[in-house]
Amino acid sequence: MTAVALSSSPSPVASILVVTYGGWEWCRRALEAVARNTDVPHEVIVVDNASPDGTGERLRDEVRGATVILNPRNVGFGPAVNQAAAVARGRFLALLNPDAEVQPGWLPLLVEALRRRRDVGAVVGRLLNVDGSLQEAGSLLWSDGSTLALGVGADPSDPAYRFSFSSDYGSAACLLIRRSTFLDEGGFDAAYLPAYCEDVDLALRLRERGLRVLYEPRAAAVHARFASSGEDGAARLIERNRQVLRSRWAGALAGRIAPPDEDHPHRTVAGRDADALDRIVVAAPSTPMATLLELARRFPEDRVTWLATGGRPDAEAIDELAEAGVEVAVPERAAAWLDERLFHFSAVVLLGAGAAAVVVDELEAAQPQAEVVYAFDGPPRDASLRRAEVTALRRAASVVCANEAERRFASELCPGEVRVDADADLPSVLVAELRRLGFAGDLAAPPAGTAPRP
Amino acid sequence: MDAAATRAPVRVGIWGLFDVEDFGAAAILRVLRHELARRIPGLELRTFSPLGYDHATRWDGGEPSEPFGPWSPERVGELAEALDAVVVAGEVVVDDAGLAPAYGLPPEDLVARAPSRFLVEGLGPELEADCPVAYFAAGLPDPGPHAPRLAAALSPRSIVSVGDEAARDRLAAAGVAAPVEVVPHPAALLPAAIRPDVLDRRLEYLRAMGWYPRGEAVVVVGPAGRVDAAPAVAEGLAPLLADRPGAVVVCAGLAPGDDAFADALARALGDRAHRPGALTLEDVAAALQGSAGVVTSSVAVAAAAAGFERPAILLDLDADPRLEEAAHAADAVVRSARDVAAALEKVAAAGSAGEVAAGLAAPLHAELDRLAAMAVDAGASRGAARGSVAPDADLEELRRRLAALASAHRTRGRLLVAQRWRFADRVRDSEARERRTRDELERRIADLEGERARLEAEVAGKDRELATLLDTRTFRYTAGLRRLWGRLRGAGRR
Repeated sequence: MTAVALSSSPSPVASILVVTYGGWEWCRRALEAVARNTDVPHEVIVVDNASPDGTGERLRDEVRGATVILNPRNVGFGPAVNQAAAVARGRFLALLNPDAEVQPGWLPLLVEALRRRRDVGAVVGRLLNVDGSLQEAGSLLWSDGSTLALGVGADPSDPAYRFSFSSDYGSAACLLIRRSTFLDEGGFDAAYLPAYCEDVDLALRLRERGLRVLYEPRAAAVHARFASSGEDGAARLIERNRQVLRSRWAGALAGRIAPPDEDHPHRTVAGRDADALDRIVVAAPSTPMATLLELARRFPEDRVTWLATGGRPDAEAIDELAEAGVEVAVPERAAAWLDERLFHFSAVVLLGAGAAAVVVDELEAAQPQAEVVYAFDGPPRDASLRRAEVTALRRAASVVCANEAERRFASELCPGEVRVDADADLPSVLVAELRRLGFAGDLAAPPAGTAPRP
Repeated sequence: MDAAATRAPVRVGIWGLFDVEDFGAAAILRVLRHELARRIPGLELRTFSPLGYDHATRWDGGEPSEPFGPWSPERVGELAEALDAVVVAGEVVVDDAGLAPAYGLPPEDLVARAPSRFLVEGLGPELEADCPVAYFAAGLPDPGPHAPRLAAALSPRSIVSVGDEAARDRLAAAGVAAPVEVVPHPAALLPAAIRPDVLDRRLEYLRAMGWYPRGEAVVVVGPAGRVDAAPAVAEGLAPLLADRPGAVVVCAGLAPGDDAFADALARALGDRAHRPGALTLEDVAAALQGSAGVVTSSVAVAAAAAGFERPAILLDLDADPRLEEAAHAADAVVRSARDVAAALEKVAAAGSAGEVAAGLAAPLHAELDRLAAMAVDAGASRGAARGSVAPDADLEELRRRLAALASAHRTRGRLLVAQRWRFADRVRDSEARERRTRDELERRIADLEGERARLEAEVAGKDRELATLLDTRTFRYTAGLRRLWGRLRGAGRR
């Protein structure tokens, strides 16, 4: 068998930490993927927890360029990661499961995300099943200590899972954290032996320090879940360690959202967006790129969602928006989509009568609390659009007109502010209107100097 | 000092050998980061070492230093421009080639880089007039022919502190005219620099690894390179282990030289020893804090143990003068392995650990206060020079209010949305109740409909039976009899 040859930088940016307990073939594939797809100076540290199937010996004999630590007994996942971290030299620790095959470009994306955001303590990538479907696109933690992996079984190209957001925790299957942060926090807690829930515990500790976990969808790994422990064994361990988590974090959990169920499906999106300061949805049939990017820039702590009422936009647009943190929603039925997000949005921006026609009937029932901003987009083409526009204007807190005729028309119907901005660019006008309606955006960002050290 | 001026960023450089495998250097850096950050508002700290992140080590805590780069007047000028003050901390080298083994480089590479010129000469007298350089807890070897360098560089400096009396004497002998303070090893302040929950977590980790006992622990570190002394040290510890049947010796190696000794000691002690693998700074601190006593040849370890108020003795098997001089870091110095147990029991019984810790901390804090004042003054004057004078008090007040408003806005926003989601829950709950009630009613209606249909069918059946009965010959033929029977019953009642 050919040896797995790994790169070992004398001055690594990242230390890739892998803990094994059996599953040599998966591990081999994982290490080969690291060798193939990692283009950041790095070192690899593998700790084998006394694998019963000879994985330790295979690591020793068939892996070159890695630091291999062979434990005489299974000390558990968390302690083994701590053990690897103690000999690591990289500025970042990349925790990787031995059954996870990283995809090209994974590490620079994770590193960049951590470097860019000082309020981010860890970054987690997107996990895919071996059949190519989505396994995990960020994870949520509920008030009872249970968790939910978002996007299970979904199409990975679904735009709902392609934007970056603050995840409640990151699965240690593929997670990047600053070494200084990991050590400052004391690493993984040994209370969660032999495995599971230590990553949730770490995320809660980071949160206590004002650090969030970021989901970075562009970094991906294919993960053969439970390859070493089996699903039944894992379920038992998870349930047991969840009890530990509940007892240690009762206060923090009490403030979280209850888990979703058949009667309360809206809790999933509520949980996902719980860290956002405000939730702004822009309904528009075609891509309002400049508007969305400007809103994302000026309201960096808010969830900005584009409800694409004219069908699925092209992949490039989705990617560009996702990179800016904008969620793109292309539901089959916009009304049902809004109903699933009961009382979710703080603001609804309707760009034109076409957008209004799709959502306006549902607004009163599902989002009565939302401030509505309506922006004219030329005269409606038919009577139904005209009716939708009239309904939207009656509901709007703010109307942006392009000319005097629109202003006169709107003024008769709209109870809120009506302004003409024929010359100003729409994105800036919308930002100003949202500010006027109480959306502080970056004005409410923490003052400089309060962010934790990088 | 102008109070407003303290708001300007203060850019401090910490220079030292933080890129080599050395617990002591790592501890000094951790303490300096913590202590300066809490003393200096707006501190911008950068650390520099000979190779820095090009020679990252596991001891750097994930925050490797920047490299000095090869010495040149231009490089020194860059650093003087980028920093307001410099603190040179820990071991200072005067001989560049002597560093080669620590970095695994040929001596000529180190000579070409000349890190000692940064550590000794600093920025030079001209630049140091604007950007002061101080020595903190410096470890200084015998300078030999380099004495004039030290004298020239250190004499103009206002803050120079060293780790022991001998170093002070050596500086005096070299002709250093500046006042020189002697301070204990800064590792004594580690307890304040690491959160208690982190220490607890690391101790549990060490126990989970089987590296640390649940019961009583005696931590032994070093002496490096004295593998031959391990059996004697084990023998020296024997009385202590006999008196304390549950106690276990934790044989820790913090540097390559320590490891060989720790391995040998662990072998000699058998099942009364635990031998940890690679430890982090936090692990060492947790191990010391959790211990019943510490035996070490490391001044830094002894100081850290004393900081945690644990009995500690310095093991000086080679009559090392520097250990002798640094004895204030530990409760006792032991020169013979056979005296270890008695010495440790003696200092443990003395119960003066708290006083020792306070005695170590006081001069360190005094020196750190001086360093902070120096940096703040330099930051203020240099900040003014580069036009970044602090905003006036009104602007500061406005900024403070804006921050408070932003915070209130965020809190309020989160509260509102939480309330909204709770309301959504209630709406969904009532919808679900309504749905369930409707379903239940529909089910009951369906049940009743079914029952009615069944009863109607039963009635229809009875009707059919009755009609059939009425239509029988027997019923018709007995009509007269029934009438007669009816009359008779009526007469009887009357």
